[in-house]
Amino acid sequence: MKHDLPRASPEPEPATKRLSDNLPHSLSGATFSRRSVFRSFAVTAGFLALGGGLSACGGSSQAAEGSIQTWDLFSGSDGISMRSMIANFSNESAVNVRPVTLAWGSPYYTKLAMAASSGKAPDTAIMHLSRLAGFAPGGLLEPYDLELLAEFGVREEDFAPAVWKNCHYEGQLFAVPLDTHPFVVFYNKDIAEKAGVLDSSGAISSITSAEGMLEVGRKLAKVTGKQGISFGHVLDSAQPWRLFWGLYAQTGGGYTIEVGSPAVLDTAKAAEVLTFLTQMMDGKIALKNQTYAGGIADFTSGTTGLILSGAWEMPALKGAIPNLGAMPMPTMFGTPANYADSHSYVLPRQVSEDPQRRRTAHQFVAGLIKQGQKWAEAGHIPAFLPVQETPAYQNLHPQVDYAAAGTTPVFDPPVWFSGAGTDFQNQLSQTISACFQGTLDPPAAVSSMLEIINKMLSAPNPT
Amino acid sequence: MSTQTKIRASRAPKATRAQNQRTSALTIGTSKGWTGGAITALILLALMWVLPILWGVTTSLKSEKDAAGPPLSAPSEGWTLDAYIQVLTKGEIPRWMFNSFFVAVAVTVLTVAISALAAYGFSRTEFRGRKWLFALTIASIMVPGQILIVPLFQQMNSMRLTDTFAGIILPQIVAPMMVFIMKNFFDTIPKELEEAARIDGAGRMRIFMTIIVPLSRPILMAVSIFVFIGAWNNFLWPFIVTNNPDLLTLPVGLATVKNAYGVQYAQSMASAILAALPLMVVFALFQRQIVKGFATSGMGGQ
Amino acid sequence: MNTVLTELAPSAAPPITQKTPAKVRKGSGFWFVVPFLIAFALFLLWPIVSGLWMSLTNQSLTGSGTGFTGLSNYAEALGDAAVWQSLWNTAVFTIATAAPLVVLSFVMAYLVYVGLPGQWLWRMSFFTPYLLPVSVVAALWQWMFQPGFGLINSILTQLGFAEIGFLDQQGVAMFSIVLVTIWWTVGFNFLLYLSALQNIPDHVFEAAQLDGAGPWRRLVSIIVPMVNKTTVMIVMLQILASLKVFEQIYLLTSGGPRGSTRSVLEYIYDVGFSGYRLGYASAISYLFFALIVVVAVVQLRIMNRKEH
Repeated sequence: MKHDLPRASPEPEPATKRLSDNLPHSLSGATFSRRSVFRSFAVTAGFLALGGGLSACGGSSQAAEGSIQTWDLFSGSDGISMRSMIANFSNESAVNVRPVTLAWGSPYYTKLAMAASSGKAPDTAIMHLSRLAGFAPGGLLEPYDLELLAEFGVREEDFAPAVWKNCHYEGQLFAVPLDTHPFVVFYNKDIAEKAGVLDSSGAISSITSAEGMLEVGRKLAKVTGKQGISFGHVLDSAQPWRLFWGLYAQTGGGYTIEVGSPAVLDTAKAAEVLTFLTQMMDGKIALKNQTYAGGIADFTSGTTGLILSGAWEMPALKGAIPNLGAMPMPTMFGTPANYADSHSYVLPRQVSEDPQRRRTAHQFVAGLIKQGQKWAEAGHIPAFLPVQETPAYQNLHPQVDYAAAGTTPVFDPPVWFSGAGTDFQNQLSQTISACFQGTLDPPAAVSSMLEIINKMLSAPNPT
Repeated sequence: MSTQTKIRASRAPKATRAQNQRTSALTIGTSKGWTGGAITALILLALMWVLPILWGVTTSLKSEKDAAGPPLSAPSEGWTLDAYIQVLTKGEIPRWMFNSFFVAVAVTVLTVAISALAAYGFSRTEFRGRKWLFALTIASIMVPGQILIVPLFQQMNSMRLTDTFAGIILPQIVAPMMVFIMKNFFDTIPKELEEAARIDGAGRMRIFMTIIVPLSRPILMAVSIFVFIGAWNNFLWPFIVTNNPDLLTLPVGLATVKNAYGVQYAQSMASAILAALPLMVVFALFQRQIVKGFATSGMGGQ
Repeated sequence: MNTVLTELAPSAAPPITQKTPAKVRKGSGFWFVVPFLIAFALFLLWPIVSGLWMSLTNQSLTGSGTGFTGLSNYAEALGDAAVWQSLWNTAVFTIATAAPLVVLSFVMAYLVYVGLPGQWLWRMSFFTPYLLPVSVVAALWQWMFQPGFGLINSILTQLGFAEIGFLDQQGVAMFSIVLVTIWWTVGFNFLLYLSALQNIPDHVFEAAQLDGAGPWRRLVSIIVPMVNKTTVMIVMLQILASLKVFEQIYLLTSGGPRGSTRSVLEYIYDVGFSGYRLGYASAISYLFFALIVVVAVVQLRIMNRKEH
């Protein structure tokens, strides 16, 4: 070891300078030892600490009282409505809300799970009710405090029992529903009138069977000169599944999809539904290889007269076609049933218990739920029943025309891997879409679906 | 990975402009056909490479309505800076830009500092296990950091460093490749330069700072440039380790935080152009140094 | 590795015999290495070790499942069709990008080197994309590939061709990602080649001039051999870089359609973070890591054989 006598060096300068500046020779007396190596590291450590300090300013966990962060996955008209609801809430309550919108589906839920697992999650977040089974068991969410909710005017009796029940896990409330958004039928009343498929009240009511649907489609196609019906599904990670699962429920075919036993579907009835849909997508009634965006474009340009799509598309469709009709999915296989999901608010797990923030989060959720009327403008059926009973909602057309879809909702099977934006929906959608495009026949598609579901059932449950 | 550039005691010989711009007569002879062909191919290729960026720029200068219109027609509402004004007043882009800058500077400073010290240690000093440690460092060049995202994320979780600048920065400062490049450079500096100082009783650190660092400016510059570009553009790690929108770096923010008001093409292009601008400007200004950096790093050369 | 990567030592004078006893300085050099070693141990060695342990458990993102499960994750991975598909996709991507990225970058560098004046402009054109963050690249190309009013498709329709679903047709999507990757990263190799070309001494060409060698002969017998080392270097770096593809795929297609563009890294991300299965994702990482080491070792062997 060489024993240099360390001298106080000139005031520490940033390490950048250290590296690039030639030190003057006048320092010949001072010598650098390992202490000075460490000193330059102390400088950089200070630099990093500054960074840490900066992050503390922006961190959600250190924000002031009466301010919360919320995440959602709404863009387009949904996003516009949501932002104005948040602004209303902020103005009335003086709570400072920081909204963040992330990409819909898998990216959103991946980020939410990662944030919750590292204890840096937002105070509240939107979650599809179909994803609750994958989030609640793993402890990524915190249960609601019913007394706090009641204090802000939200109680069990304000919701439809079927939906309310789905918000629970092991007897605790983990989600508060904002809406039900069903998969429905929109139609162009002008084209429908020319095609002669409107009844005296100006609605399509003649579809009571699969054949009835095809018939209406043919009549509409005659008027447009192209196709009658739009349904976009190519490369879509959800649409084929939504359509199939809702119609399968109409057949009354039950199912068993539970971890620990092989999946059971009524294969004949499932194939029947697929067969009907491939008949519909024959290129004349509907195209067999239409994308989601293509389906919307064809409907709004009058190339087709009817579209099978989610309630969330209502504002865009209404904007293009003022004379827009709507109805729940017609009962074509005997039992009324309508595919639906529900946007709800959840409380992601927090690392540090902060009663005040928790309280504010409850206040925020209650405040947003009560603005269901505004949310209905974006096409969703408000979950908060007092909103549904108002004259304002009762006069909101075409929303109120498909509100009945909310009374017979069909949700995803309640397993941990199902729900919006999951690989489950994605893989099944790809299979169903392949069937529509003619690369798989219906029975083969059904057995391929069972295979996919069984593979997921046998995978270890990570929640 | 070796250069013919012999590092003399002073510095790498500067290639003169004349040398860089060799006459085509020398390299391809006087064949007219070849020269014409080369020029045509060059122009075509350059156009293909510039076109996407140019189109992004023109789109960002249109109104939203025109941006979604036919691409090859003049905008009906004229050219406008609207999209840029919208993007800049929303405040997210400036914030992300600051984060990116802060992270990239910190990563560069720390990486170059620890790598240069280590390279000097490996190049010029003796201690037990030096060869073994250096071999380990070289071997780790082969470890693709990307495959460590899963354990690293868990590690950051347990260190409580997710969603902090330290969590974004620290895992990025381990750069064995840079240690290797710098050690190669230090190896070429004649030892007798140090001996004189050592006889005067200067300590190692002093020798490093007063002799080695000034002589190594070109390589320090080159390494800093590589590290900075890498850190500025790094996507995967910041994407994994941050969720808080206030901490996102520019590439991650652009890709993950969505516009609640739907896809607005002119605005998304304006954000992209703003994100691309800083490095483009730096490159335009420091092209010569950057190109030289490529040469001195020993990764080019012959 | 060393044989390839060492600089030619300059004509340094023989080292002066050390005047101070070696013992005195023993160990003091170690402190220079310490800061790097700390970072190296914390952020490279430790994750390698902890990841290896994690791959032997069914650790979940939610914090459950830290129990030891032995090699079951590895067994599952070897029987997982999605793993093989993603490996195949990664291999296809690597082969499809590496060759053009080497050849095209050389062509560009050669053209700039012999071509027009205005080097500044050409360099800028080819290198600028490399400076763009991946999200900018993805945004630009998504915009180029758009159906309807996207630039490429509207040119196609104006010329009377049908639109191409660049990112949503199986088979085409991988091609599109390869195209974007070439556009984005060719600049780096281009600059490496350019600096190599500019290092060719003039006298080599002067000799060729006297021989009356034509342009083709100059290219084939002088230029290509002279940059051979750079080529070897670029091929090696390029293959290792292409194997690690994730970002542009995640942003452009998320691995679709039907998993046809999903790379290994994307699958690791999907399994570990979207699917919570950190243990299983670690196991896949290690299998992939082993593969990369094999590829790297094979490359080194080939290169070293060329050297001698």
